[in-house]
Amino acid sequence: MGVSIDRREITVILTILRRDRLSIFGIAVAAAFIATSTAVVILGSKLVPYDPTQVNMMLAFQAPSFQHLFGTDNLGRDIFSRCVIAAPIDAQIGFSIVGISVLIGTVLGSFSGYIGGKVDETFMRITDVFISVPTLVLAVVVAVALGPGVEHVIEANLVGWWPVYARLARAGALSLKESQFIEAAKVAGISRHKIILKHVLPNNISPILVYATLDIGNAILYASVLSYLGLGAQPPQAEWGRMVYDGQVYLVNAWWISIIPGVVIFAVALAFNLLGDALRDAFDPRYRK
Amino acid sequence: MTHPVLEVHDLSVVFETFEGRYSALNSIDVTINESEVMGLVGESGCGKSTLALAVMGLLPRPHAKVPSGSITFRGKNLLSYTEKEMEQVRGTDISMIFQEPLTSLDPLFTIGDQLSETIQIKLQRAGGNAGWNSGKVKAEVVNWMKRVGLADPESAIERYPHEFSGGMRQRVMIAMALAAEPQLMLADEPTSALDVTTQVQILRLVKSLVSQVRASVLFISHDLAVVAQIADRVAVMYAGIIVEEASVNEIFENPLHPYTQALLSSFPKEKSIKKSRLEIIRGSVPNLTHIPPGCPFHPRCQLMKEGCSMARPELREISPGHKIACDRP
Repeated sequence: MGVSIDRREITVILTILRRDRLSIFGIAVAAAFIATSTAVVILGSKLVPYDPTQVNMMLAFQAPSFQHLFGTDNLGRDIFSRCVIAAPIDAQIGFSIVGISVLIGTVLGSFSGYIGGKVDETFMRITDVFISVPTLVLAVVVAVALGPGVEHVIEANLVGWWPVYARLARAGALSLKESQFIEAAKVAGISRHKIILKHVLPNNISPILVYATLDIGNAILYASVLSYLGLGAQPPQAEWGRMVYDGQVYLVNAWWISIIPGVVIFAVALAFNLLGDALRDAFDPRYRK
Repeated sequence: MTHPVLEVHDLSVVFETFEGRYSALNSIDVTINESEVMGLVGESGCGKSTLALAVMGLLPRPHAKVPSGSITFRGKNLLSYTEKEMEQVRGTDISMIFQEPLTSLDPLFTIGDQLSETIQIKLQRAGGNAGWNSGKVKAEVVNWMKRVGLADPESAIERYPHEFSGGMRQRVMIAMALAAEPQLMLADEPTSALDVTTQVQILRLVKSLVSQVRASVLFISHDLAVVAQIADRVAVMYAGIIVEEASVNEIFENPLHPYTQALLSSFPKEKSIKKSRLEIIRGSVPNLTHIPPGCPFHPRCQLMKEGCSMARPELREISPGHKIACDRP
């Protein structure tokens, strides 16, 4: 059922989130990620100790030290600075893919499920077409067709991303459709569109938000895969997936060039997964006792 | 001379499912006059709620079919209305309250929000142009909260449905159903989910409000005692047909149909509570896929004779205002 958000509700959710160490880790890393991204957007390269694109061959292949926390890469660039600078790109990719998918999917799915009949059949067969192709393969094909670039990574992933949300929203709409308060709204003479917008959508949103939080990690992972394949951000712009790719040649001699950006991707993806799990528990009344 | 508000004539409804055709209503005739409370009683599954949904135009399509009949409201046949036209009728001209006040309110919105929705629709249809939080709407909301007897209406409108008890929610539902001052209200077992003391309060409230806004009511219940308190006239249903219809006094003092008689005699009587066993009606309600031929009640009827299984008896007037569907007397 839906959860009405008022002050008491938020207190309960926070208490539940605080109860579990893993969810604290999730919240902390996700919050750090978002904070870093925002700071970079505002302050730019002033935030980091070294210029992330400054090549200096004298400093190439430095192992992690207090001077260079994450070490330096084959061109002598500071990996820590590059990781920090790349945060907003990955944030943009992750949030855009999931955000736009939630928007398209929820609206389409809610309408489709509530209206039913032929409209529903048509929409669901369209989503089936997209679901039947593996998301990553579809994204790679689209990204190749569009050419490299951050925006194209987002567009490429969106193609295969929204149908899951349409399905999720439709399932919710189908069960809400039978609920008594929707029947009562019909009886009160409220028009179909208004019922969908005012009663179906808001009641549908909480499971979708939980899933979306889990999903941000996935989106970042997928975007990194595309960048790793050379389809995302282009050099000299720093991007985590790209950095993993650039460093893999030197894996034996200088492991940190690849591994550290990889660990960053892993940590952020994991953090959103844990956060999503924690939110699910927080919204689940059975965990409230 | 009383004018009919709603005339249901020869209405049949069938449900087509994988298990077969359920004949939920079989050629029903009901008339509800202006400012009249019509009680509709019958066992579970006899078609009471189907009748209400048919009037509302909310029969579950595509399974429900209406092979015959008309539902005339203010001189027009509702069955010929499109969905858009029905939307215009619902809420303002015909409203409805349900059995489950606990689930009839959207958990995400405050009581005031939901009540103002109805009032807005009424104002819009009356040609007014009211913004969401205009003072007029709010005043009307508070006024209706008072009229249905909710204490402290000013703070109650800020509350959510889960903060209200069943009785309070049903009061809100009643306010929503009557706020638009409809000509007809359908009440589908509105008190069945409430405890007996609340039931009495709600019944009294419905009765007084309905006479204030001069609405007619179709009051559906399986409980004869409830109907006795509120109805002016009573129709008794059995297996998709109306078997008897009369004024409330006639029904209780002079029931003529064997089914009504059997129903009334299965009530515990004050004198005999200790001594005798409660009368029951033998057998059970027929499956709607296989309604017995002729009078549907004949297999359970104690006064059954040969002809009863042959032809279905017509609903005919025995004495002024008293109709039964039985060929026996």
